[in-house]
Amino acid sequence: MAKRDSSTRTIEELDEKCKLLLDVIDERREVSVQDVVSRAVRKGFKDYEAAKALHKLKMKGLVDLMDPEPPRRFTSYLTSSRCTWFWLLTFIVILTILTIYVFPQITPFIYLRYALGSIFVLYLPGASLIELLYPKEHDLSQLERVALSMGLSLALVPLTGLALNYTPWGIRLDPVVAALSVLTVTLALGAAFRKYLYHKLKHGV
Amino acid sequence: MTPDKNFMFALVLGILMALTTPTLAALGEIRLDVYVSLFTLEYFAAKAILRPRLRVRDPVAITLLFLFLLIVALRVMEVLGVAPLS
Amino acid sequence: MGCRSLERYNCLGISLLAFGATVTPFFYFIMSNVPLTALGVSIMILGAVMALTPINPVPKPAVRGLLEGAMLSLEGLLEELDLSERGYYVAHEDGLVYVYVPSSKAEPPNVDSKPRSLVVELKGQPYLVLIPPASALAREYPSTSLEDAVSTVLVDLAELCSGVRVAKGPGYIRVELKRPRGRRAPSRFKRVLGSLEACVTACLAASALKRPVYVSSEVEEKGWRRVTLEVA
Repeated sequence: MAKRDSSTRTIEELDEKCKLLLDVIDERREVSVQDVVSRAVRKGFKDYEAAKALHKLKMKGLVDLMDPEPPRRFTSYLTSSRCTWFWLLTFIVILTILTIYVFPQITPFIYLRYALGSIFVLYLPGASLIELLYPKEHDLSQLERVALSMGLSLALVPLTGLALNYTPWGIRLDPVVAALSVLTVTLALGAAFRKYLYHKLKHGV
Repeated sequence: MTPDKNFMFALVLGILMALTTPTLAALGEIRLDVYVSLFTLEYFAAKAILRPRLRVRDPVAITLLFLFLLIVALRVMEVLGVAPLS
Repeated sequence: MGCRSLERYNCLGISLLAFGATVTPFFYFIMSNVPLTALGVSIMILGAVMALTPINPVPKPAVRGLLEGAMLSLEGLLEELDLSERGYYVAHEDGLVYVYVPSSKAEPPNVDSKPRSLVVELKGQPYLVLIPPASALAREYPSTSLEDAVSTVLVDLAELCSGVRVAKGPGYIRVELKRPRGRRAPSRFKRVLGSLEACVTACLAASALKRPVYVSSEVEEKGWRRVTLEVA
């Protein structure tokens, strides 16, 4: 559902399509997205143009999109589209493990291993920690998140190696892959739970 | 009574560093950069979790981050065989 | 700059920093002992952290007492004037937050400038203008993040609760307060301005958003209080 935010923010910088769409929503303060798009199409929009304009309005904070039936429990939240990032992260971790142990070590699979391995070591651990520490979208900008993710990965991975050095398994491929996978997925799960707590508060479920 | 956040930060940081130093010493670690790197990580971890307020922009964080990057750069150069870390 | 102008805690920090800075080169260059050098470095870090930490000159129970006292004072005024409609928190250019209490059910006031008297009339509706307990705190502790500002005032400064979570929705803000421990607000004050914790939160929200805010509902459950603020 789309709801007009009664902000006094200026709408002068919006393009004509956005202004028209804002009028469509303004006719009824709370309306379904499907309704908005069909009304916009009747006024001469193409459906992807309406969707694009709606997204722009959401980004500017003039409109808010609400889920009429938000997930209530953590398990349903985890399986909803809000946790796509979690499943994507888990998928990349699993795919990286597959490229190491299952895929043949020949071109082009070896390049896939290099690429996924770099992401697995240099980005994912820090990214999951950042999501845990700053669960709200507006806490950090996207650029800050990417930069901090890489920086924190540079900190977490050597720390993991240092910890493994004092264990019976040592710093070898299998223990490192296992440790980083468990660390990344555990941090991501913690982040998903924190996001769920804020989701519960926002939607009053 | 909830302890003051800033005091908790100093306490937690002190405890972490007090545990780290003798542990690494007992394990026979003689590289100073390992100690400094761990202090840096502990500082940033404690700061991220406890979020203390400081009087000014954080000079300790800037200094530790600079030292950490220097240590990482020198280690990478050592691994690449460009310059040994003494 | 002597220790009189700094708290003792900060002075101890400076002393530790100086101690660490003195012994560290000694341990490294003369004794060639790495663990002791690391100990010296850790003392320096700890000293620097303590030196840079601001200390609250007013104890938390005192801050809480001052806020509760202001609350009781306003209760008397509201009782005398027999007002019970929800007040609207409005921030003005002087940085203070004012509460506009209508005599009867009314829309949020559209105010451009600071009120010049205790009672103002806007579009034929009279409003009593109050300065709520946390108004000045909203000016002293501005923050880009509402959650940080509320946490600083409610948890660090006044210890009115032990944790805060803030979520924003379209036209509303929901705040979850963990283990609120303020004195139970008098009935009239609670009806008009909300509980003390809700009042502080509304002040900070109005100051941060620069839009009128009012306390729409408060729900208590299992050690948490959920406050909903509507943004006009």
